[in-house]
Amino acid sequence: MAYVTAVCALVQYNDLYMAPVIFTNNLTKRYGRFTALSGINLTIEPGVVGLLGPNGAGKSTLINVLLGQSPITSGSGKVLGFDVASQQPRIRSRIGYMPENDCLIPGMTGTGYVCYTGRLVGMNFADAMQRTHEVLDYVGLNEARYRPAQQYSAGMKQQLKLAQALVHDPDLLLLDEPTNGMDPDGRRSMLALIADLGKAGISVLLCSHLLPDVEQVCERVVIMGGGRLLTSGNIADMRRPHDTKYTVDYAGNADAFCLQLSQRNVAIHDRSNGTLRVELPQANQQNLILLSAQDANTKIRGLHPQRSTLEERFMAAIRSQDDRGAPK
Amino acid sequence: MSQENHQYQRWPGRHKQPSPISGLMAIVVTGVRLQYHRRFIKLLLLAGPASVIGICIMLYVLSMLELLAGQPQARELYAFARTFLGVDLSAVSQLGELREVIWQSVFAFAIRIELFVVMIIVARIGPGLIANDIKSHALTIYFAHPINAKTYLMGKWLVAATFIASVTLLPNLLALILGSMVTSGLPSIGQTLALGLNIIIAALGVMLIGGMIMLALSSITSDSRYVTVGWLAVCLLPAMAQAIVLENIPTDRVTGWLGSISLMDNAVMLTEKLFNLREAWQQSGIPPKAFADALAHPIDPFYPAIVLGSVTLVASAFCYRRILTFAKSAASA
Repeated sequence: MAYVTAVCALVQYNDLYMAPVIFTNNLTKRYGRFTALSGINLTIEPGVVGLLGPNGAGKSTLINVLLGQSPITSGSGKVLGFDVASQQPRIRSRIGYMPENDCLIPGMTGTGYVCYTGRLVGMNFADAMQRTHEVLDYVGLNEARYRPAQQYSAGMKQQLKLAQALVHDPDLLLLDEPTNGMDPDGRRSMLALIADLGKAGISVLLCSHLLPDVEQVCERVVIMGGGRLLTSGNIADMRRPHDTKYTVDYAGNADAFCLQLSQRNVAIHDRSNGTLRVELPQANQQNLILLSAQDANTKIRGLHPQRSTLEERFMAAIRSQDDRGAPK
Repeated sequence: MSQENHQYQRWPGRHKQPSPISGLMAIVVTGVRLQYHRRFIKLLLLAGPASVIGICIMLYVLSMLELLAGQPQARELYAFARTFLGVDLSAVSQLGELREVIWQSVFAFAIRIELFVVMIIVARIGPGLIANDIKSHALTIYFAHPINAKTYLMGKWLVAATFIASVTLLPNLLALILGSMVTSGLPSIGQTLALGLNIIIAALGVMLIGGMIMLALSSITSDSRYVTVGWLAVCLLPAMAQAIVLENIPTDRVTGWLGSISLMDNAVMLTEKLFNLREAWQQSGIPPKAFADALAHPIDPFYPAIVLGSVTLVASAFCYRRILTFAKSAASA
């Protein structure tokens, strides 16, 4: 009997922690004739995931739909295993949402505000207040918590918004531009907090225009454009070494070396003192670089494959979407 | 930001099934507490105790008048009753027999005065109820939690209703209890309970109408100053128009819709109807002249009821529609 109970507990644990936190199947959202989301098929596993896209890509609409605020037109979706069409209260009680805008309630102190948001989820006053102080300590809002929140600096407001999203200990955090308006030190601390939350087992969906932020803390990324899902995957995979792009460190006659490379159809993208960024006509043709160096009497000191950046992948995805055309 | 070494600690507490009641209570308690901290509101709330004292004094004076009826010492007391109630009680030989209608007149008069206090207190607490949330994007926060448009609207209405109740319902009920204690009270418990019930119904009506009109105005704009102006306009302009109509058109022709322009006057008329004052005074046997000033301009209560009901219904539907729109676009607001 104990064995069966243990197996059931393990199955439940797996269901809870290994199931996708967000799953959508052909999810479409239309406003009249305008299609804001077009057939989104998305599976987001637990972890810290970046949601990228240019303005008008459908990120906010997707958040709206995931929060159950806006009814979907067709398709289906689940957040933390709850249906977005019929189980909005359950979803909202397990999600922490940090909006992009200031959303402070006039006349409230930081403590009062965070406690209030805890109570809106259904926590009793004692629990909400205790938890308020815990999360305010965590985000680093010290004595200022007793001041009216409207007097806070931009960075402190961001900290407060993160605290209100955490007060009820959600399983999924939706963070919309969490580093907006923060100074470099504040931004670094905020990203450290997000990374720590990921380690603590809270799944995070991070919407940001700042690709370095996403690159720094996210394991995976979802790129949207024109209401479509353009691409998604692990950031590590996206930043894999290029097959054809290389950085060459050399010593010798630069002009002769470049001439030899050009004759062998190797494109030169960047030329600086002792370093070239080149692109081979095909993969696995590094010998073209070596032969060119030999013929130009130039020594090769280093030959490294270039890594694609998230920005490159992002721009490539947006270009491909532009080529296909946005849904009307 | 000084956070460097802290690690996030999960909350060991139990996540409850989201319930609209807990969210509603949070909105009401926090909303009332936020408003109560304003000095001017505390000052306005003194109208509640003042109302209790005023009604109790009036009831005490009237009980004294019962004892001194017909005696020369009662002359000043008759003048007092005429000033406040508009009734010439010297025309009544047995005041004790009219105690029920006199008490009803006292409370109807009190409600008439309290309507002005309600107008001022709602003008102070109401404009920001929704407008401030729109201005500060706080609606995003509400609708990211297990709060729907109905719960939000109900919560905000209850905040307004709490303050209206504290200057109408609570003082009147307290005055009824204290008045019954400091005088010999109404002849029967049934009459006392009926009067209490009338007080509750009248106050609920004021809470519903005043609260919903204010919320509708507050949901229109994000600038609470415009809401205050709008509220005062809704209260005062029709009252002024009604006064001009009554001044310039023969009284017997001001009936039906023409006599139901003012929301405040309509509320007074319906209160009189609820307390059944006109019929009670007419049946009292004293000359109509003696109580003419105690009653509002006679109008079929159907018209004021339709006007107030329609305004409240339209205000509620409009406000709900606005909140629903905000709720649907909260994340992208």
